[in-house]
Amino acid sequence: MKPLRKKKLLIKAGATLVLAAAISTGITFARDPNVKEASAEMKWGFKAARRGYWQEALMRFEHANELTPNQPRILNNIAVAQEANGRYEMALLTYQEGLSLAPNNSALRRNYTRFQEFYASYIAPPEIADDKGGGDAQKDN
Amino acid sequence: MRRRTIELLAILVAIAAVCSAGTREVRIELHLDPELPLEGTENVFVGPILIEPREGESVQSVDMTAAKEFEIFLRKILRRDAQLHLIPKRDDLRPPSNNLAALLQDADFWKTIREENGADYVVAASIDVKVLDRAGYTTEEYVSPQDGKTYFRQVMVEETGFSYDILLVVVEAETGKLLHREQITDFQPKSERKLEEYTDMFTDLYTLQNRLVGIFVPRAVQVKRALYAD
Repeated sequence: MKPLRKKKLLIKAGATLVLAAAISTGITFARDPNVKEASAEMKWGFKAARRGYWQEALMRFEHANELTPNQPRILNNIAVAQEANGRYEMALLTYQEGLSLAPNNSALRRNYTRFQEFYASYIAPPEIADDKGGGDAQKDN
Repeated sequence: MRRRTIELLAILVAIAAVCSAGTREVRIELHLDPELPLEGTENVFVGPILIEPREGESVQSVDMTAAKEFEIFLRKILRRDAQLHLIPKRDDLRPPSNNLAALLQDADFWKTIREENGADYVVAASIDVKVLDRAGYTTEEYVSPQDGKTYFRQVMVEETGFSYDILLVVVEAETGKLLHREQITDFQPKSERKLEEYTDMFTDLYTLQNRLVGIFVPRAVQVKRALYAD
């Protein structure tokens, strides 16, 4: 492939990416202003989490959940933040709530499986026998 | 024609990337409370470490070596990792029974340890170690890919490693009350068949170390989780 052609292709792909993102975001935000605010809270929460400010992250994710309830991606982040804040019982319930809404959400399932292994090993060995999220326990929990 | 296909594929990949969920893997530290709420100023006595072989088996030299090594290991992690104040080892400690369950019923024994050594807590254990270092032949089924028939063949089987059965207890010396019990049963396989060194058998047991330390001090476990970025 010639370099010019390759460059054109990359520009096209990039433009499509931006366009698709803009359209999907625009449509969603135009429909409900809460979605826009929830998305901003998720971003802030993620940034806080990356810096290790898990209480701030949890607060942001919970606010996002209040704005747009029953979103598996938000519930996933809440559960992770609850884990990081040592609220293991609540994290367990949040994971289960998220999985009841989206049983096939791969991130939720993976996190829940890892959490289950941790929970069973360190918190309450016999109580967590039923596997609601499914999947085999992974070595790296 | 080919270029068009590549372009189309690239666009589809780009759209798929937008539509797919944007998760990032993050590392978090999960904090665990200790099993015992210690202040860190308590005096801890380690012992006795009893040998309790399995039913029908006698005490072997490996059990005695293992018990000694376990005591050294236990003292090391309690001092280094849990940073507890350990009372110096007493070689003249003579428990009235070699059965830990029976000793737990004997409150006077633990009170005596307190009186003689000033211990607040006593960490005692019973241990049974079995060295599995054997090889032999066994018969297994084999379905031939040539004719699909089932045959039986002799297979060499090697079983090598250490099998542990440890019961660790923490007793309040003042009352003789059992505060915590930890049953540790594990099998540690080794790649080499020939086992000559028993002395370093505990050194690589991270799980055991982690569990033991976790009884006395808070600890953190590092885990990975997927987090949505927006």
